[in-house]
Amino acid sequence: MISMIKDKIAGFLKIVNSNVSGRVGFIVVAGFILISLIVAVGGYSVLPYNPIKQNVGPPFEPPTWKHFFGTDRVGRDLFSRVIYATPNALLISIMIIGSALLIGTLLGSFSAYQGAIIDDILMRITDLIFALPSLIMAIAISVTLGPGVINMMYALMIMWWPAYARMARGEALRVSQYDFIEAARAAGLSSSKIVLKHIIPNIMTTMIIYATIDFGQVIMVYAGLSYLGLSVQPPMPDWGAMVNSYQGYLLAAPWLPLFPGAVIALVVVGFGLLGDGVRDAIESHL
Amino acid sequence: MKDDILVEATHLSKYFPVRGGFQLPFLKTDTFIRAVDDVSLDISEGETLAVVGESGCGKTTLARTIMRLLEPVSGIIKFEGQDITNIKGKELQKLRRNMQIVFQDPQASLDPRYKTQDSVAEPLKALTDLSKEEIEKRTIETLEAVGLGGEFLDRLPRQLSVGQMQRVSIARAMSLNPKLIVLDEPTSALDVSIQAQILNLLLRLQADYNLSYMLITHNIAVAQYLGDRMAVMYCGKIIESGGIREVINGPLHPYSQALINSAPIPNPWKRNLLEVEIVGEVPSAINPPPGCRFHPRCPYAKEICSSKHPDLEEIKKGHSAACWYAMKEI
Amino acid sequence: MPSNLTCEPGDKETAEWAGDIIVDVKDLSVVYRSSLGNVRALDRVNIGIGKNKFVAVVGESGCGKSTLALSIIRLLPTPAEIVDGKILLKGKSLLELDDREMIAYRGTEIAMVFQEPLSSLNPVYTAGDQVAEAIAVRESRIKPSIDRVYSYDKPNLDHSPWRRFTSKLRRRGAYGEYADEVIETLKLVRIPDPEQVVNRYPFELSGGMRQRVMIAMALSERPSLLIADEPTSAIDVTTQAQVLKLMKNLMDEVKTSILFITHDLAVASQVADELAVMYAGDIVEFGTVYEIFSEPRHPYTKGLLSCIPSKFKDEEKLQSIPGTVFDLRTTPRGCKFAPRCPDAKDVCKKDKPALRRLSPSHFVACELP
Repeated sequence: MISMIKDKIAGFLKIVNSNVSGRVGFIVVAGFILISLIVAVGGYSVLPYNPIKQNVGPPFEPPTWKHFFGTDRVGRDLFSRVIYATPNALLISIMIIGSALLIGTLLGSFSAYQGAIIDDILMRITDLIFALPSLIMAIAISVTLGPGVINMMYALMIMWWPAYARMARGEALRVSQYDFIEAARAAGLSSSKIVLKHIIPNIMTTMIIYATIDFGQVIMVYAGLSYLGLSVQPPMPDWGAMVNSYQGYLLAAPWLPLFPGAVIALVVVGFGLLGDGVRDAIESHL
Repeated sequence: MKDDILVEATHLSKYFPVRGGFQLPFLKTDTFIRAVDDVSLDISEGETLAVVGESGCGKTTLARTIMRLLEPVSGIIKFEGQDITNIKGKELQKLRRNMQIVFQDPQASLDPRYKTQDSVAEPLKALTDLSKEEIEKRTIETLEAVGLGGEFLDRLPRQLSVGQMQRVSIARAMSLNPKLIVLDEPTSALDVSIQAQILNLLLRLQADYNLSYMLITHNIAVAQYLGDRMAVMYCGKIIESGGIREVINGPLHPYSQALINSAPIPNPWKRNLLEVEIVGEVPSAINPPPGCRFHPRCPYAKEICSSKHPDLEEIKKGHSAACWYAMKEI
Repeated sequence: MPSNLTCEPGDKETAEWAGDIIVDVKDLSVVYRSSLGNVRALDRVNIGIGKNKFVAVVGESGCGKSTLALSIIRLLPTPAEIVDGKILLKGKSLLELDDREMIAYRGTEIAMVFQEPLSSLNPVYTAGDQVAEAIAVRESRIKPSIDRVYSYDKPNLDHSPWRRFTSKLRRRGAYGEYADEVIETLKLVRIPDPEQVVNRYPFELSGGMRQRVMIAMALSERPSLLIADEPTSAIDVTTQAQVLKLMKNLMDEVKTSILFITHDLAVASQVADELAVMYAGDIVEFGTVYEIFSEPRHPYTKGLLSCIPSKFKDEEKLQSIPGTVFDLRTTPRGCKFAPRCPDAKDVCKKDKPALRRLSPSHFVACELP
């Protein structure tokens, strides 16, 4: 059992390392996840300064060795704030992608296998959601439900699953053509068992690769929404919110809006590279 | 012999609705692909019926309909005397234990993520109440019966050769000890030497377990090697049927004649392949020609052929054909 | 005497070894390179295709027969590499030509027909356009000029108003300029109603018709050699009979030689003059089709012959060949068939057998007497 897990990890690392894109992406993403875990577990104590405490340093201090990212108007250490906001991003994106993956894969595969009316209904629902401008819808739902991270998460979950359902449906249709599905029917398996035991396992690879590439997107959208003030409330640090609140200082104290923005970009690009690297590695292997 | 009829199909039809590009999926339509059109046949215990025809003739659909993987539009199917045309649920599960299928493409027949033992045990797990140990025992037995030893249990399909994959497929079909196995072009995707092995295996299994086979194939030589009786299909209908030697040596229907003569003989001194004269193409199954479906291509066609479709009539003992020309001769 | 024959020898015909050899392959070796190992697809293969001869190359999957065909016409896919040997077309070495020079020969001296006509024909051009393209390329042999090929005004043979209307909007192809020649070529391959077929797209035609169109394209230039790679494996058996008959007739009419790749020995026996049996990258036996069927000498040939079912033989049980082909990434010592050979001797395991001449036309690569 342990050796099987070790083999899978080794296999994964090999794939990731096989090209530059994968390697760089993996380092960034691994770093991101590691930092999130450390902060989530350790809290303030792992940070150089208390992220919400004011006047831990002189206000508007540019980046120095004491304050890597500088300080803001009220003397809070920017580096600590940025790091402290990391697990938030990770958690939100895991929740959204996880739920989209789950809902989308299940709905898409069942609908593809059953076909007929159920399939048509699902397709029309996804069409509907696609037709709505996603960002505006997310805002609308957020505002309706009230500000706050949880509500924003619900909003994004609603907007996110249709793409996965479509992807899963396409893949499921492809897999359904294979004879072993027919053999499973001849062996007496019910439709739901066939979808769960044969179709979904064979589409998971594609779905997971898609999800990996999608992580970057979620973080970007989340950052955008929190920039608009729809997620965490101050004084809790949050990357998008920080960009918003510090944007006025772009000329006077550029480190304030730029560092959070750069971190967002770094993480998004990191996921993108990782996803590309994994996809290229798997495709070249074929 | 009549008493041990295992499977009997009477006036069986299976149509697939055809919709144009913009038609809504749930509205009724008038256009159908008449894949199987009023087919009657029977298979006795321990015998092999070879259903022979070219692509699009409906033989694959016929096999799947008889197995109830598809639902017939009209007609009756009986298994061991019982009507199974419309059964569902638990009864259908019971039927599945008696009728299994082996497919043409060995690589598509196995779930690439399932080990051999999982593939073979799947029907056992789904349709029986056997314990884990019993299932394992049965799996090993079945694999041995098809010539695969214990070392194959944990292998994935990508670790198997094509011939081995087909054996696993056969083992999976055999694991429930069915009475009838439908073989859908079981060796078309195999090299000649592997084909010989699999054909011999199928013969041996039939003898050891008193199996009946419904063999779907376009290859007359394979049909002849495994088959006891033969039915020739054309455009959704059976147009000739009889003992295998009788039909091959003396085909009555002009299409059967062309089909059998087109089958290449591995003999350079008997080059009759180049003398086969057949014109035209297989008609569309949506709008088949009126009357006898072969009449536009038939050298002997007369008026009656284009107006009325002949029924399958016994012309010689045990040998029937659906052909006005053949009937007039005798 | 050989055993397990599936036929009775009639008058045995002994052919003269063809005086004129159109394509001569000498010691050809081809390797497929991959990260999992190099596969030796062809191992010093020698074969000569005579003038006006129908040569069939028979073997099971992986034996290298398709690689041989693609090597002659120099259309090997990228991982494949010709590492040794010569290919002579009427005395001229083909391997020394660069791509541009080879284009001059492809389609004109050597033409090829593939297995799956649906994927070998371009789905967005009509049959007429594609045959015309094959003809038009001749005019600019070294550098096919796109402008020359795609210019015209097509005579409108459609009858439905919608098609007449849309024909003006549809992509323009080469058909118009070469209309007569295209129709002639289609008549050559006995396509019924060529005037209608020229306006049909590949998906509107049946498998047999598509294969005829492919053959028409290939023969439009009256090549010296037509290579057919499993041309009838994807079509029905009655259509196969028609296409094979067509190929034999055309061979006489157009005075071409045919190299016919197939896994089906029965088909080969019906149409071929000469037969080459391949195993794991080697030609293990070569002779006239009569010699191979009446006196097969290589154990693999004998094995193959005894495992083909025939519709007229129902008493005999098929004898299968034990074992499986070895991993082609390795190169075993000695005869490649030795592990599966019922008569293998020590010498078979040590040295690879050379091609021995049994008669002017019959060669076998086997040490056994």
